Amino acid sequence: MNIILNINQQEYPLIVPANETLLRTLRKLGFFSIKKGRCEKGECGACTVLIDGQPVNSCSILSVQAEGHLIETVEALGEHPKQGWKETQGLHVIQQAFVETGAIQCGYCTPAMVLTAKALLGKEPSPTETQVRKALSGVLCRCTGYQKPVQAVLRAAAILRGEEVPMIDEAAAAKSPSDGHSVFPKMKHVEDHIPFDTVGHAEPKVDAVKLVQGKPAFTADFAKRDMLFAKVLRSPHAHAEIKHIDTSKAKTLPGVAAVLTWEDIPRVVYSTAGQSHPIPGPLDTFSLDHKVRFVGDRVALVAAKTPEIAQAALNMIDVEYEVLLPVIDSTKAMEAGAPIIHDEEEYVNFDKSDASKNLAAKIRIDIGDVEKGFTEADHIFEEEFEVPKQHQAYIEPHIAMTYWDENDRLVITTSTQVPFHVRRQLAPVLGLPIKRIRVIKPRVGGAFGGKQEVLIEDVAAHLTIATGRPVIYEMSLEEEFLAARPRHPMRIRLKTGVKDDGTITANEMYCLSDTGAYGCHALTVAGNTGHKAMALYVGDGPYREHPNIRFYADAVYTNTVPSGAFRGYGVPQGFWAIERQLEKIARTLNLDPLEFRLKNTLRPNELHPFSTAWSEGREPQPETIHTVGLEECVRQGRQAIGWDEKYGNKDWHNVPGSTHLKRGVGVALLMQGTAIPHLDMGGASIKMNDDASFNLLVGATDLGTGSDTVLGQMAAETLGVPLEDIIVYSSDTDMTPFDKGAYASSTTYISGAATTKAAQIVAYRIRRRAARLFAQKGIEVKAAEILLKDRNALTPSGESISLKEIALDALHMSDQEQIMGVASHVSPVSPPPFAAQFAEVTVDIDSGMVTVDKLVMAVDSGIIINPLTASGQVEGGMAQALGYAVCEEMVVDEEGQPREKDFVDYHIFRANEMPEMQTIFVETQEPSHPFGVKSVAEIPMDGVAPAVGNAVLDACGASLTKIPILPEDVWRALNHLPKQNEVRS
Amino acid sequence: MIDEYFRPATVKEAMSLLNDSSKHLKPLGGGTSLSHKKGEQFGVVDLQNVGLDQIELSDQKIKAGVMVRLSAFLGHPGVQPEIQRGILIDTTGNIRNAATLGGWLISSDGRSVFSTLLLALDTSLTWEPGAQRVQMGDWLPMRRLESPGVLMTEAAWWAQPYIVFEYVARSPKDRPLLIVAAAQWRSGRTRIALGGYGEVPIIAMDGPEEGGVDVASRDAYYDAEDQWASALYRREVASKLALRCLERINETKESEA
Repeated sequence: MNIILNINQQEYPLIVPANETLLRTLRKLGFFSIKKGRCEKGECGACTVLIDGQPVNSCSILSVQAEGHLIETVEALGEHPKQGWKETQGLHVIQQAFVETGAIQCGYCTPAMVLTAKALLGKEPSPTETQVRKALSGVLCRCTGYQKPVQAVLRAAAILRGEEVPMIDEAAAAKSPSDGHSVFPKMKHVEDHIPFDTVGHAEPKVDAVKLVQGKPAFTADFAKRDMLFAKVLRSPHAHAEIKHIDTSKAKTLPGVAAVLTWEDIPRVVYSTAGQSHPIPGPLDTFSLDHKVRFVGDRVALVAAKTPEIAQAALNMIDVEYEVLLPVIDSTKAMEAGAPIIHDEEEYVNFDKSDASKNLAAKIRIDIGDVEKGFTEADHIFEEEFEVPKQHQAYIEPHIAMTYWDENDRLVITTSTQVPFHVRRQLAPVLGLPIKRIRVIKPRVGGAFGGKQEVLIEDVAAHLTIATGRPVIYEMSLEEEFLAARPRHPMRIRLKTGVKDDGTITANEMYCLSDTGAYGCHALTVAGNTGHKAMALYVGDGPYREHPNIRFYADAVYTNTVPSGAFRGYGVPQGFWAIERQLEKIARTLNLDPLEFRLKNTLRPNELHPFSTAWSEGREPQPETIHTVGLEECVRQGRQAIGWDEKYGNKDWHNVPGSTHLKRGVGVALLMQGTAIPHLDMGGASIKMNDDASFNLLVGATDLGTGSDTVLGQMAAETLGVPLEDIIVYSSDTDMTPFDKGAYASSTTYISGAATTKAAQIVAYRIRRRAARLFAQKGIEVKAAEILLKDRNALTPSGESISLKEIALDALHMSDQEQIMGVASHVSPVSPPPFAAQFAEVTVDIDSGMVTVDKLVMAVDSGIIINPLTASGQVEGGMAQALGYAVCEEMVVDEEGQPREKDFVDYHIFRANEMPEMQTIFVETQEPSHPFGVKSVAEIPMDGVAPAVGNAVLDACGASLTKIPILPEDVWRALNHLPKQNEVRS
Repeated sequence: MIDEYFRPATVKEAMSLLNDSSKHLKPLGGGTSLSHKKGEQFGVVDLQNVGLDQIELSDQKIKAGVMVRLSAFLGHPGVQPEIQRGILIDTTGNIRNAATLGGWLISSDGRSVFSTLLLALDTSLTWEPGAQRVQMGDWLPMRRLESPGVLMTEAAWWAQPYIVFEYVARSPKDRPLLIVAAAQWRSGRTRIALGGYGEVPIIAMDGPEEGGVDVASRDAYYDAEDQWASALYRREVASKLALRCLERINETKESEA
């Protein structure tokens, strides 16, 4: 159809098919600010545009419907303030506010939020926070927890009204603690805190300006000419043998370039888990196989000229299945006579995996003498807990694009956390040497562990090899729910021995982990459940030195969607059980829940109890934990939540005027890890340019977490320049040093140490040259005495040479050299962050509906490099953890058919239903890192569920052992009815 | 797949297109059902210019054209606050800017608060041709099977009754597992609609007085079991929430007295 669209006040005459969505038309025209969440029901809002000033999902309207209306996109709002000789208006006030407040993490939803804010402020110049939240409710954000985007809109509104707004820094937040900490976290520094110039400051993210403009930055934005679109035919059965596939009709469909089945490609067994060599898990996966092992498993691949043709081709493939009995219930997976899911002869065991028993991983750890510990206890507590499969729900789906470059090397542009693992692991699958593969990671629209998987790159790559053409493969949202790699569901049995005084004498956990159809991360996730959650409470007195801990785990195969890595990596599962158990013990023995916990937790300079027993399938080595800020975390958190006024206060528990409502507070104490010791390695390279700017190249993978920014801050601090002088680039296997990728809470610690080391090398060479230049001026100074600060090299007596002079001298004038440094880092320790998570809830005792009113998290993550990005991690993590606590789960029926396939049924929290959240950082100086950091990204995932569970118990007496905490489960507990018999994968 | 597109300027033109049996055309409300376009080939008649986008109060009723966007109900002074609260639970900001009343009635399921409220208020629907008026309670169960006409043009519901609802969900803005909506007329007529389950909301009770709302609600959801909640839970909690709705209505009456 011939139409004219008015986009950003410019008319575009177009010919479009009647069925083309506005989203597709606009992206074809190059409006890349409009993102594809692939929800197709308007639930995610990533594709928001303004139509006649109203935010609307462009995926849900036809282009022809938009004719005659004004369409606005972020491209028309603002731009970089300095475009060479051309003066611009700079960023729009709203965009600037998003940059300043740290409201941008992955940036995938940012343009949509900015447009929505513009629409709101156009109608309502002085919105309340409630109005802002209501407006932003149409845009799902999985990164931020909405706290900072909401504050960004309020800040922009104030500026547009002509009001002065405070700086976003610690001093301003401290002046107005009641609302100041809504953007800037509360900071409790170490006693001898000395402020740095760049480290420790709320520097705007280095990628914020491009993301807020919606610049092409994500994989989908880099389409190639002559590109084919891939689709995957997926199994309708949970367990079946493919007896025959007829692709002849599909292959003859005009526009189809390739159809591949298992018969067409080499049969190479591998693991999709993106981990270091050697993979600590079984090799049990093929790109395509003659057997399908879950509903959604791959059957065939198609590449075609358009997505519609590819879809039509899928519909023309005839498959004859021999349906096999599935294993759905993990408790039955190892029973005698259970169907064997992996009977392929190519299966490669790792450690104790045993495919003949559907066993992907087995762990048996005994520390001390557990049985003796139980005999020494005055009380034994036993309970069984259950946690569900949870989806990462990143808004940008998995997407990969492949092509042959001019050197006949395969280029894979992909939204991944692990570009170097993708290259290494796919090489044998594709029949290519590593040197002929280049993996480029552009910006990633959220990942949270879900993209620590070599999940889809092979689909596009096989089709590029088959056709010789560029291929893009983008999973639909339904495919994400059918076939991505969500969190492992587990059943956890706990047995704890306790003395009358609250001393834990022994603790035993058995964990049955459901890895689904493939064993990706089976061993390491289950191991982490024990390694972190069971390590925190060692006991007191003699038990502190010689704790009695047993951790046994079996990770079993089932015919359900495979599990994988997800923020927390097994630890949230463990802490749900541990912290619910400890609450029960405290209440039964009439112990103060906080004192009881602190009595038994790890303390500084104690040995990590698991460090001598287990290390992700590798040789364990003893580790001493030097910094534990847990007591201060508890002190800060209890004050912020008002624990002393609420806990045990009967009056407070009642809600005036509503007899059916009861309030409660709960707590959970937590520890996580910081990288994998002796294994995780990150590299960095820094070179100095003519103007004394620096290129920092890192293999580390910024997923929106802000790691590029904090690495840049560490480099800037070391080199004595502002962050704006550091040009950060990540990651490209051809261009950047190796990094194992973004996982295990390692980037700030490992890649940060590598960056600092590289910067120290560069700084040393700058100082050496500076000393020579000073000498030429008659100033004698040792290189080691020179301070790099404010873009200058300074002598102790105050003389200075600018870094620019030094750079020009080095590159052009005398004894020329490229000042640069390359370094890498691997750590012998994994210093745990610690945290106290508090929750306040209201329970409707008639219906069991739980409303979470407030979350407070006090975190010891060592020294905080960037309070805004770090608190953004905590807020976003708490929001995800809140979903895990009350609503997020993936349920299958007895035939393995999934219930959740979209964001309608799989509900993630929206801006207008979030509880109040507060973040407090309790700094400690971790000695194993040059700036004293520990990790922050994962620990916020660990404690919300048990804190909410404990708060529900406090509110109404309902003691839950399973999450999510569903209204019916609370209601049944209150009415002493049996639990529902549900099948959960 | 949509293969043709028309944008008529009047209802008459729209009717002419929709009545043309040579074309396989469907009305296009906007914003709610594009996702169902896969599969069959059909054309669409975009109703954005036909003028069915007004809300008016007359004869003690709120009359809304089917092209009224859900966002328009939020700012309208005549629309009951509980209706506005229900729309806020059902929809996101973006969806209600595009979704229309007609589109919502056609596509929403039993877990819609808005639809449950309209059912409780004994909403009537006008269909063309013939300006036929059909009660929502009669139309909903047959919605997928037969249509009273080719084009729904208006929904009208009582403005005067007290209307309240209670709901249960996993989070405040999640799709409800259970909705109890109670409407009470000045005459004492009390009508209870239940939602949170199944394809459509249902009527649990419509009587001259309020007695028995708990029993009626319990009975109406006797078999309301699915993967989201058990029938036992729904019926027992519906019973309690029905009584709570009445309490709220009575509190409102007392405050007015």
